[in-house]
Amino acid sequence: MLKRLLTIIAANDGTSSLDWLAREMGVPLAMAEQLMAELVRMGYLRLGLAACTPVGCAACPARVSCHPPTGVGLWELTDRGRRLLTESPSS
Amino acid sequence: MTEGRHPKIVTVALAGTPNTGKSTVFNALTGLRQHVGNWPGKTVEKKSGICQRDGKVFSVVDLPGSYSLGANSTEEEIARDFLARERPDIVVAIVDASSLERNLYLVCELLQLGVPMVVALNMMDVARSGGLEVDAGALEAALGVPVVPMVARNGQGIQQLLESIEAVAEGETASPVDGPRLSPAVQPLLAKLDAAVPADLDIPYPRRWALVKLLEGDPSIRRSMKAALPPDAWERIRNILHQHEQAMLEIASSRYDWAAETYRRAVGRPGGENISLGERADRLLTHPLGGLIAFAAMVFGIYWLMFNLGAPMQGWLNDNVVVRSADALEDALRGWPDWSTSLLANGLIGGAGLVLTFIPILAILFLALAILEDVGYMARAAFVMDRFMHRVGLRGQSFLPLFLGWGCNVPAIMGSRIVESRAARLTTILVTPLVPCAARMVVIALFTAAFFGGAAVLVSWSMVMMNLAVLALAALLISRFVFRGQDSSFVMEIPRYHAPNIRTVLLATGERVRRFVMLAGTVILAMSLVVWAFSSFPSNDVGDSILGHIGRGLAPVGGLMGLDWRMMVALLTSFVAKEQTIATLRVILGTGDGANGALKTELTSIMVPAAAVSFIALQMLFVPCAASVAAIRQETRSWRWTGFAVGYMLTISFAVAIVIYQVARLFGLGV
Repeated sequence: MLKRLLTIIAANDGTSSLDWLAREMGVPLAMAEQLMAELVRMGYLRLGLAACTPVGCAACPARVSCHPPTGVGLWELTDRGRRLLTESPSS
Repeated sequence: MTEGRHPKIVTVALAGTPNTGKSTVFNALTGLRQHVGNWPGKTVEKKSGICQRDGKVFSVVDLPGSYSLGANSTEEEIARDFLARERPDIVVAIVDASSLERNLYLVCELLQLGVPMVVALNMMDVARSGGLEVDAGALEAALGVPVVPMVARNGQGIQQLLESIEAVAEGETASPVDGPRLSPAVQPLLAKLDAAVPADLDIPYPRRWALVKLLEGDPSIRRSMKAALPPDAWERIRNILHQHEQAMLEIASSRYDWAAETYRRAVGRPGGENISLGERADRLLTHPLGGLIAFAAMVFGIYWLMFNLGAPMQGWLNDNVVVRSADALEDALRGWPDWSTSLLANGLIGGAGLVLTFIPILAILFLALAILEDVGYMARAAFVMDRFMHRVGLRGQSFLPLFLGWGCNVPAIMGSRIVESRAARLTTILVTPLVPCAARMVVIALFTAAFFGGAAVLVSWSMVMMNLAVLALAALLISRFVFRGQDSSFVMEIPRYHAPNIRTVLLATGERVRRFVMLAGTVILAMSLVVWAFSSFPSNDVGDSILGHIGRGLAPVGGLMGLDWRMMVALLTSFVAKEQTIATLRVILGTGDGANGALKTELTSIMVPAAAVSFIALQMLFVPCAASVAAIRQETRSWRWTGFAVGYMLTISFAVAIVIYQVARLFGLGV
């Protein structure tokens, strides 16, 4: 299930929404969040952005999906995640 | 179980994810017979209590909430150490029925731990109200342990739970030995690890469970294992683990697969099928094509409001405040030197004052943006635009700064710092000034209203769409020929829809209007005075002034777009701030004919509609304001890239404006 989720994320053209991923996976949104957290813990996804901006929270472009203090609701596929899919894409 | 002269004491551990009603069940079971302290060596609260039934004594321990038996937090480590090391007689897994699939992961781990278990299926009422019918019997059959449906906060199911606990304590129900099976791919690896670990290993955890956790990369188990093993044995195990890093993924996946399958058996359909109204709306608003159309319609709607509500107010302010104030000032200063009257009436009131009359139009724009943002739509718009941008070479994180650019380009350029890849960051910085900022909206509002009347909304909207198209093309070319960074994959959480908070919306709108007023009262005011000075010296005739000479130098270029030298000067001063265009035109035109007539009328007398469209396009695509250029320099840390940004925008803006003018003439707009 986790690898399938990674595959969908990597295969999608552009940024995916968590809601869309949950629908694709056929799981509730809360479950999708848990799967994402699991993949972050394993190092296949990275949560958040490269850096906070100098413009402050009120003017930060990421505020639309930011949930202080837990972080920004934006995940990125890591090199480790990409490597996993390259090394064993079929499973 | 503890036996002796006293009654048997059965230890019952309450486990569950946070917010499943665990404390409610604990209170219902123990009543006032509770003890609250801390877990040894931790600052996490430990609650335990006594429950008596039919002469039997149960010692109930409320474990900290945890999503798994990993060691991802202090709470999880406490819970799993108690379960794996203390081995309570019975575990009661409190499960939120309304979020069953998510809760089943922990249940899976508890089953794999092999402790006698009862599942308390709590919040059945919440599940039902959400349209979820959980079949407790089917779940019990799937799990192989007693399942008690409950609504703990009403006390429903507490007696049945006690009966089930008692039955398990008496050994009347069997518990699975190994629990859900791990992925077949993991079994040989587990056997390999088992062979590598000495049989007499002394660690405080069940052996097989500890080996699985080792494969999952659990740091706490690794430490225990390393401490208990000779260095060479640990090195062998470490090598096995290093060669099979994917095992953790396989193990977790097998648990999630099991959870999904168990959920289907208990609920009868896959998860995620309850479609809310918001989700239905999202199917359109975040659809690759439908979302773009909805976004374009939204922009059109905002412009419609700006022109139909804001423009009349702007006209009223201009006629009744600016023009009358300037006239009154001229009357009051009759007899003063001409230059001083001109400075105050044209430079001060005519320039900066006129810019302030655009507050109603901008306030509508800011209010609309604040409402859409607070409702949750802007995150969707950003998401849709991102998919579109991705097709033209921009990377995932770029859309966030681009989205911010609708208000002002400066924070948007600075916001590009969130983009990690240098290539993607530079691309974002270079195209962000093409996002039509609010200041440009002011200029558009003036020109489209003056030249196109009822079609002003359509022309304005078309100009915004043109900017986005140019932005997409620029991004495509830059990413194709300048940078070739690696693509990346992102997932974004889209916030829930909710009713706008009036206070938040008004505060955001007020703050943006305040910034605009501050800008008009400082930079634009000062620049208006400079423009006035340049247009009044050395001669009162603006044509022979310093500004006149500069303008005539630009006239040949302007001629290609049907623009005379005054328009070129106005364009030039927009480098200070986009709104300065209006203030400069007011100063120049006011100085030229000595009257305080409406600027719109004066504009139509010096240019044809084809030139007006050309000028609007020029303004939309022209070099951004000085503050934005400074931000580009700061973020790129390169004069070369700053020069590139200025150069390519100059080229594009003039090229597009010339083409528009020439084509518009062909369609008869050049007369």
